[in-house]
Amino acid sequence: MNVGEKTRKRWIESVSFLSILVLLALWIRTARIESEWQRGALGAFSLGFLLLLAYGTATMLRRARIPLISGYIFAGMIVGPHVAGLLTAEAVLKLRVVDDLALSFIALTAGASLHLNFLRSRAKAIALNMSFLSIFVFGLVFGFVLVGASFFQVTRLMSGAEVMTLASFLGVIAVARSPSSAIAVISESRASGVFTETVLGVTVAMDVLIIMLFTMVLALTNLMLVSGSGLHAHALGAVAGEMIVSLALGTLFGKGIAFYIKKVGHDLPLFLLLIAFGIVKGSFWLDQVMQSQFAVSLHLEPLLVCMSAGFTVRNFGPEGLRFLGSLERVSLPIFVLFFSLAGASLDLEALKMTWPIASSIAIARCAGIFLATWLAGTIMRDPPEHNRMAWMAYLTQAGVAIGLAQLAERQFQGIGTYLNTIVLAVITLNQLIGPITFKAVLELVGEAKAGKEGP
Amino acid sequence: MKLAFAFLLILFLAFSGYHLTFRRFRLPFLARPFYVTGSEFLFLGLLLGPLFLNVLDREAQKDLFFLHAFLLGWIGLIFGFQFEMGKLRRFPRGFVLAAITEGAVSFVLIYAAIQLTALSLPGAGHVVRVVDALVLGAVGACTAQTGVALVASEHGPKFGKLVLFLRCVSSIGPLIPLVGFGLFFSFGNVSANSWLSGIGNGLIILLASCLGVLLLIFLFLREPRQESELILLLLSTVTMGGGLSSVLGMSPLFFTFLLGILLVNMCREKERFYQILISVEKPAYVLLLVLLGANWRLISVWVPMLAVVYCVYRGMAKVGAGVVASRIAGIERERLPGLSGLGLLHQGGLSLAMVLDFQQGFPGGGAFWVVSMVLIGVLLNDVMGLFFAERLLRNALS
Repeated sequence: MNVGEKTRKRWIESVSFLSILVLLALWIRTARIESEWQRGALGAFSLGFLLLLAYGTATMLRRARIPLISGYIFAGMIVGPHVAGLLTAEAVLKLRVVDDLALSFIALTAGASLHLNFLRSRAKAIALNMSFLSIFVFGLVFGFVLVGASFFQVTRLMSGAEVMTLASFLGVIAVARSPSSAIAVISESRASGVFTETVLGVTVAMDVLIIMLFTMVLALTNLMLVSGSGLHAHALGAVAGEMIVSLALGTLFGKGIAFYIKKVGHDLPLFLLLIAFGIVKGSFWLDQVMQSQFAVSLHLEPLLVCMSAGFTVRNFGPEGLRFLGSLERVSLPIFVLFFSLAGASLDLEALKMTWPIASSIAIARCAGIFLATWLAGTIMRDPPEHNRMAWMAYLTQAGVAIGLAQLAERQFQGIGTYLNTIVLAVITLNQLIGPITFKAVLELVGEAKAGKEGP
Repeated sequence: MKLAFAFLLILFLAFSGYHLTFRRFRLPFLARPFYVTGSEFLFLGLLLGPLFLNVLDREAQKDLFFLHAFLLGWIGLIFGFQFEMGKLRRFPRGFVLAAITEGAVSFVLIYAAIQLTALSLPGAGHVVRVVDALVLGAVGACTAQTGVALVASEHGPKFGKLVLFLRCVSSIGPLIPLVGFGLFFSFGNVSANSWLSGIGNGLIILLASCLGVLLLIFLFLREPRQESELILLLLSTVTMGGGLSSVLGMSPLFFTFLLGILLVNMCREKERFYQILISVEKPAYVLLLVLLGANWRLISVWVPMLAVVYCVYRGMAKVGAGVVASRIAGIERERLPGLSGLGLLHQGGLSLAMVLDFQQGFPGGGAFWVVSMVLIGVLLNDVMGLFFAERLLRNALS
């Protein structure tokens, strides 16, 4: 069987797989739901159906060089309540219980991806890139939204504080990258070298920085929008205190995880699942208890706690690799569900309204990335052709960005929906273009090995 | 928040619990059977349920329905995986036939005894539904493998054939009761004008949905897959299959049992599947016990008495079926073959999954009676089962 026939066969198999799934979903829709038990069972069906459909679609689209995450989002969007309606809005809402769990997992993985030795070896280049990316990308997107608010239908009717909040969040979320996509493209291209390692270091470390930046913006905008009290020194101190407590708590959890791995070791994925879920729910619970019992607000940031825990296990003990392996073992279903639900929640009506602003933000972000990477490369005296093309490596965006948008959506009911929709639209664009440009730049700088060697 | 707390708590119990139980510590005789079979989690469930702490209240349980579908699906699939033809051939053919007969005879005897009692007692005929009696029969006919495995591990080497026979019956015996349970579950819930068309509709729906899910699995496995992908496939097909069968009015336990039989005999990835399935078996069982315990209602003082009667019927049926089965198996020359049924009193595992399944599919007044009777029965049989099995083997030795 030649390559063409093989490819065609694979496509036919994928299409058959998806067709059977859709037929089952259509069949279920004709069934009479008479009891609570059956209503509950419908939720179970939706969960399994979405997992299989999203993964099937993503693996099929991967053959067309579209990244898995884009496939999950696309699949969710198609079967969601706004397009095919195979998943009802109620089912999507129920399934979104997993969001917190998925977010904690993403944060644990992000922390665990940070390798201290590697960060030290390229510390200056990574620090420069991170600083410039944070400043230029945030600045350009923030400024663009602020200045252009009166031109877009979505933002025209918003108040000054709302526009400011939206601009802050869009700016900070635009800084986020996608380590999982970056790692996937690098391993697919079998790329290695200074350029590749710097990009990887920046991408992973950026995910950590973004959580801190986001926590800060969340607290500040909360003060502006919710309390309306403006910014005070003690409020800023409280935010900094919460971040430090979160980081310290994360370190403790990390030590606890490392101790568990060392002393017990079995059922690690299940244990991590429990820890991740516990951290998220525990943070909310602690805040509630502190508020009701002591009238003190202690808003711990679960993402920061998880990230710090992941970083501790990875870098301060011999258990890091086992920890990463266990995360990978259970993360696939969680990620598939998380991204496909994000796609299913995408309000296409709102998207229709927001596409002009979304595409403009994507361009502004791209310009910010170009400026930042060119300037950092020039200061570091990297080859000029690397500096001119480095922006192509930083477009991918997913994971944390989606999670952050959803967190903000929950926090700010009014503008949150728009924020989430705009972010998802920008991410969809970046996820479609980003991996392709990243792969291309690895080949252009000569660090991609796949394809150079024989078959 | 309450749902999240309940979910977190039972996740924790499942995770920590199974490491602490199913072990053989030196405990007093009466405590040992509970501990090795994990029955203490029934009480923990009862404590968390609406009767005491109310952590797992009705609302939380309703929101955890997806977990029920998943658990029943997982347990059904594991049981189906035991019917791998290659492995079944390791048992002597007579043993397999005897095991199937033992299950069928116990099922019929227990059902008949309960139905006759209900009809003979004034007023009880209206209270006890046919489906209740059938479920009690099917559940009672199952033998838990844990108890037999425990006795076998202690006495196995001394009693080659008898212990092999007991093992064979506890593994294969529940086949007919589960098939019976699955079929009347489907026919009882699938809408039809008559019972005959009910059977037809039920069979068509069952086969079509099973075929659909099976095709999905085979198409997915056309490419070589990593472990994480197989975990994804199992999680999603079990959850989807459990949900699909329940929505279409079938038993998720039976549906995935059929799926398991087909997979284990047709799929090249069966070993990798089995490893994944078995890695979650004990936490899944602990979760099942906790959920059942939370559903336990101490509705009447009559329940314990009826449970004792049920245990007596079950014991008699097991002994009777044991006599028939030992003759078919051809172990008459072993000592005490006629009483081999006394080694099969342990109940739990699959029968508890059937009870949970029944409670979901046939809610109503009768369901609480059935669940309560079976749970008390399981606890009594844990003690009696171990006692009689040990005596049986000790006497056989002397």
